[in-house]
Order: sequence, then C-alpha cells, then structure tokens
Amino acid sequence: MILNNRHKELVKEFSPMLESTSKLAKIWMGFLVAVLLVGFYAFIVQVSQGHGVTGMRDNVVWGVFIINFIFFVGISYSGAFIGGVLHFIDAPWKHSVTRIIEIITVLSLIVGPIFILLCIGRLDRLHYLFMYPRIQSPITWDIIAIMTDLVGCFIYLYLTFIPDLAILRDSDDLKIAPWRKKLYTFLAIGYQDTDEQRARLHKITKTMSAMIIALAIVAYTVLAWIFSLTLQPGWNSSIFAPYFIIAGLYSGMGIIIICMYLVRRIFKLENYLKTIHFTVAGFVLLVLSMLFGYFTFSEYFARWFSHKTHDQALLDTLFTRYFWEFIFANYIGVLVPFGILFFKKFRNIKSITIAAVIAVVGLWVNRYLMVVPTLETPYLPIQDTREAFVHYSATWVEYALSFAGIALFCLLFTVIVKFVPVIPISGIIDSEKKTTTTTNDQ
Amino acid sequence: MKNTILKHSFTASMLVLFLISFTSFGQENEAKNFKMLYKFNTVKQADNTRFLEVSFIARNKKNKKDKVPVFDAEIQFYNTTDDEDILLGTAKTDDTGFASITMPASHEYVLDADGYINLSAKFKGSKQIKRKSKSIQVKDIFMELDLKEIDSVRTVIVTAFTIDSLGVKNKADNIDIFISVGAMISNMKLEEATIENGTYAYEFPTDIPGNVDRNIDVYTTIDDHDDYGTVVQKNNATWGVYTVKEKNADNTLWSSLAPLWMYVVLGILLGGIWINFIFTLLELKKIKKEGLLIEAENNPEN
Repeated sequence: MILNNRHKELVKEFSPMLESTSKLAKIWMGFLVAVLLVGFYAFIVQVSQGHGVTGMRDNVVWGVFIINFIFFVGISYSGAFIGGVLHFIDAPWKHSVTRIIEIITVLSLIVGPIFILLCIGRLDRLHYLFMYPRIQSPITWDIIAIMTDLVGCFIYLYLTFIPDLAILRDSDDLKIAPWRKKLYTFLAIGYQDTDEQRARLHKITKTMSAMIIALAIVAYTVLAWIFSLTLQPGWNSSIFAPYFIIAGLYSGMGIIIICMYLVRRIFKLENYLKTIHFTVAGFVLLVLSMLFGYFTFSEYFARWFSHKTHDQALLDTLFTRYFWEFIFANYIGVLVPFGILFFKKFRNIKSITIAAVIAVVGLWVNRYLMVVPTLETPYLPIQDTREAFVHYSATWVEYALSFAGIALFCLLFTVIVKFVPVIPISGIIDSEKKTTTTTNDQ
Repeated sequence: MKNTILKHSFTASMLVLFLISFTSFGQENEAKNFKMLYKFNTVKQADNTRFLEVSFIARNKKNKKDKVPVFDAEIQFYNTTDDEDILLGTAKTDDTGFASITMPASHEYVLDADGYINLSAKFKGSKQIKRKSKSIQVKDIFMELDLKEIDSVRTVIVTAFTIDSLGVKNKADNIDIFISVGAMISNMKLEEATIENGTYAYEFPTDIPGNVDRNIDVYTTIDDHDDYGTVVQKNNATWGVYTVKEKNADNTLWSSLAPLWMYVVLGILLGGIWINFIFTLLELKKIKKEGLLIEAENNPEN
C-alpha cells in the first residue's frame, strides 16, 4: 500500500499513543492489573468455598453477577446498534466515534458473559449446556445469540480495522517492536487499498453492519425473554423486550459519551472529538431518556393498576426497602439527564458527560431493582427466616469480581487503543477525500 | 375486616343518624328525605324449617336510586293470634339491611280458625324512624321430592300435601310449581307445572351438567302462592353430566424435543447469519489473494 503524505501525517500524529506508553498509562494499567488480581483471588475463594461466599441464596439466586451481565451485554448491543446505524449515515464527524463504539461493543460482549460464568454454581458442568441443549429454553437461545453476536461483532470490528492495520504495516516511520509489525502484516491480510479490494471490503462491511444491527435487536430481545417468559412478578411483561432494548441503548449511549470524554481528555483529541460529537450524542441520550422514562412508567403503572397480589407485594418492596434506589434509578436516573440535556445552555461537553454518568449509574441500579426485589418476593413464602436468605446483599467477593470485570474492560480498551489508532486513520482520509470531491464538484 | 368497616362507613354513619337519638337539625332533615322500604317475607325450606326475613332499606325521596340499608335495627318476629303475639325471635338488620331468623321444623305455630299461620315482623321505631310492621298469612304445606329411575328413565316425583288438625294427610291440588337445578349463580329452571291430585312426575333431562362427581341438586318450588307462600324442596342425585376436558399436555416446551417450528425458525435465523459470516470470510480470502498477487507483482524476486 502506497502511503501518501496525509497518511504519514496522521500516522505521525497518532504514533505517540501507539509507540510508547507513558508513566501515567503504566500506573493506570498496573492499577487495573491489581484490581484484576484481587478479582482473581475472589474467584479462587468462590470456586474453592462455593457460592456461599456470595450473597446469593435459595431465593435470590441471581445477584450483581447477572446484573453486570445484563448491563455489559446491553452496552454491547447498543454499541452494535449505534455503530451499525452510523455506518449507514454519511456524516464526516462519524469517523471520530465509530472506533470507540466498535471497541466498546466487542469488549463489553467479552466481559458481560464472564459474569454468567461467575454466576454458575458448577462450572465443571458448563459443557452440559452444549452437550444437552434444550432448544425450548430461552437460556439456550441466549447462549446461541451471544456466541453468534460475539462472532459477528469480532468480524465487524476486524473489518473496520483492516485499512488501518494496512496503513500501520506500511508505515516505516512507526517505531514499534518487530513482532507488532509482523502482527499488523498478518492481520492486514495483504490489503493494498486497491479499488477492487476497497469495494469488496466496503460491501462486506456494509452487510455486516446491517447484520449486527439485527443481531443486537434479536440477542437483546432473547435476553429480555429470559426474564419475561417466566411468571415472576416484575418480569412477566409483554413490553420487556423493547424496554430492554431502550434501556440497553440508554446505558450504551451513556458509556459511549463517557469513553469519548476520557479518550478526548487523555489523548488530547480535541481536534477529532469535537463539541458536535457530544451534542449529537447528548441529543440521542435525551431522546433515549424520554423513551426509557416512558417505558419505565408504563411498566410500573400497569403493575400498580392491575393490583395483582404479588405485583403489589413487589411494588410495596420497591417503595419501602428499596425506596431510595427506586427514586435514584427511575427518577434521578431519567429526569436529571433529561433536564441537563433538554436545555440548550447546558449542552456542553462536561454537562453532557455528567448526564451520561448519571444515566449509566441509574441504569445499573434499575437493573438491580429488576432482578433482586423480584427474587425477594417469590410466589411461595421464603421458608428460611435468616436475614441472608430473605434479603440479598452482595459480598466482597461479588464486588471484587464486579470491579475486576470493569477493570478488564478498561485494560482491554487501553491495550487496544495502544494497538490501533482510536480514531480510524482510513476513515479520516475517506472523509477528507469526500469533502474535497464535494468541494471540487461545487 | 378493617376494609369492610371502611367500606360501610357511610352506611354505619347513616345508622347512627337514624337509630341513635341525636337531635341535630341536619340529621333530622336527612332522615325526612328518606322513605323507609320495609318488606317481610317467609320461605319454607327444604328441611321444613321456616325462614323469616325482613329487608329494611331507606330510599331517598328525591333521588330514588339513592338507597341506604338501615343497619342494626332490631326486628321482632311474631306468630300473631287473636289473643296475643307470640314472639318467635329477634334479629338486627345487617349492613345490607336484612334481618332474619330460621324457625325449626319442629316448631308448632298457633293457627287461626281458617288454619293459617299469621306471622308479623315489627320494628319498634326510633326518634328518626317510625315504627314499622308487616304481616304474612300462610298455610303449612309439605312437599317431598323423590328422584327415581323408573324403567331407566330418571324421574322427578313431586308430592305435596297438607296435614289437618286431626293429623290426616290431604293431597294438595292445583298448585303451581317449578322444577329447577342448582347452578353457579342462581337456579336454572327446567319445568313449570301444576300439581294435580297431590303429585307431579317429570322426566329429568339427560344432558344437565353436574359437578365433578356428576352430583346435581334438584329443586322444586312453590313460588309466592296465595295460601302457602314460598316453599322449597330439594334433593340430590348423580344425574348430572360431567364432561372431562382432556387437557393432554400438548405444550412441547416440556417434551424432550422442541416444537418443529422452533427448529425451523432457529435454523433459518442461524443459517442466514452464518452464511453471511462465511460469505464475509470468503470475501476476506479474496482480498488476501488479491493482496498477495499485488505483492508478487511489486516484488517479483520474492
């Protein structure tokens, strides 16, 4: 691939973050590894002593692990959805955010299912899921959906990486280890950016974009069905699938904004991640906050109005024991981002990011309230009166593993942006070419 | 219980208004606005006990739909004779405005010269509600209900008779009755007929639903007769039909194999997706091949 001057300029611009690792980055990565090690120790404790070391008991069999799973997978699906949609939008600004979204999509889809493995009591029987699958079971559908989606997202991410990998392969000025050069050569699969290769790559990337949008909807719908197809109060709802998708998009958009903010600050990419990116993302978050609020209200209102005994018991629990969590998740988590994003004067990078943080934390608490209080109010009264059996509360093991999951996500993100430019060089060049062509046409 | 009290709080407050001697101007005014509907009824039941019941309802004179049951009013039931009123019992109206007593089958009423039992129900009155009294005159009649299979025909045989002062049974004649079966909400009428010469026979239908044990309650009723009032007799037989709806578990979610459509849908979905994945990988292979060719052209020595 013959690199022109613009290619070289951009490689030079991004080379500091690819070539060297700053002291601060090393400390950051060291910290993440330390968190991971604590998580690994917690995992050893859990495996050796059993799930008794967690807060999960006979009734509340799902705790923060499953909440983290839904949360991360939701982020992934929303990333796939937004990334896929962006591919079809012909806007020059999109290139600055697409790679961040694609990385988030794949990483959260790697981290999310790990929590399922942590939740399973007998990991030694994990292979039974594949040996004796029941096609009738939503759990089986979910396994199939997640694995298919993971493969799809990997392929999609790889397709978007190829042009940049080829540029990095052919950048002689880039001071990187020989093994990395070899890796770029291997992964770039001989891509030379000829018209034929470009057309071929564009065609399959476009198809994969459409595919991962559909996959994201199907897979998250299936995940919602795991809950809504059971007759538990609080779960058995016909609107759960679209509600899940909206909730996933809401939290996913929040995470994208947070990542955009951090990447912009850390790598000083103010020229690429501009106010317009945050404004557009903020506007999407505003629409999603309204949709999420609407679905949340519909969900709880229908339960309250129907006055079914067990639904009523669940609502009583939510409005007593979980009162503040409920207020935070469903009022503050929706109304505050909405309030910030609705008024134009608040729509600046910092306040949009704050709104995103509130939305993400609120959404996590919302997922908690969806899982735990329902399991604490079963149809049959809880027999064991010990507090730990009646009410769930996460233990240090669960917190350690949860933070380890977040640390893994952050670590992999940090490693990937050290491996490929966080802003796609090929995308910038394509965008500039288009702008030049349009200007010349005019 | 708490809910019931709350539910009837308005009724209870009306009661206090009507029955207890408060003399506030507003309360008097309200009582005057209501017309008291006082009804007395008696039914001779299947076990030959006699049920005496009063309904006591206050109806708004202006708005006739506004009806308020009179609660806790003491009703005295009498067997009245020429000489005296014999108290049979007392009961207080409940929160629906009904007061009732049940006289045992063995009770011997004092009859008048024509052989009638004279019954009355009296409310003594309060400062707000005037005294009320209603009387009923009934003759005693006995009904029997036999359920027999005669020549494989299920037959309902109703007999009715009176017993005179000498203890002689006299066949009842020309008395309208109806035959019904018990149902979930009210009885279902099967036949209207007249007892002639003390008896009536009716061929019971073969398609009447019973309960799970095919049990069915059959009733015969003399309804508000001029002389005998209302008399009910009841019997039970396993003449009902019970159709067991076979609910074989066709829910294949519990079977070893999933429903066929699930395999088909899943197959189409996964097939479509994985074909696309494979197509993508094949296209990548072509890109690689093209790349190798270009490389070979650029570096012929290699």
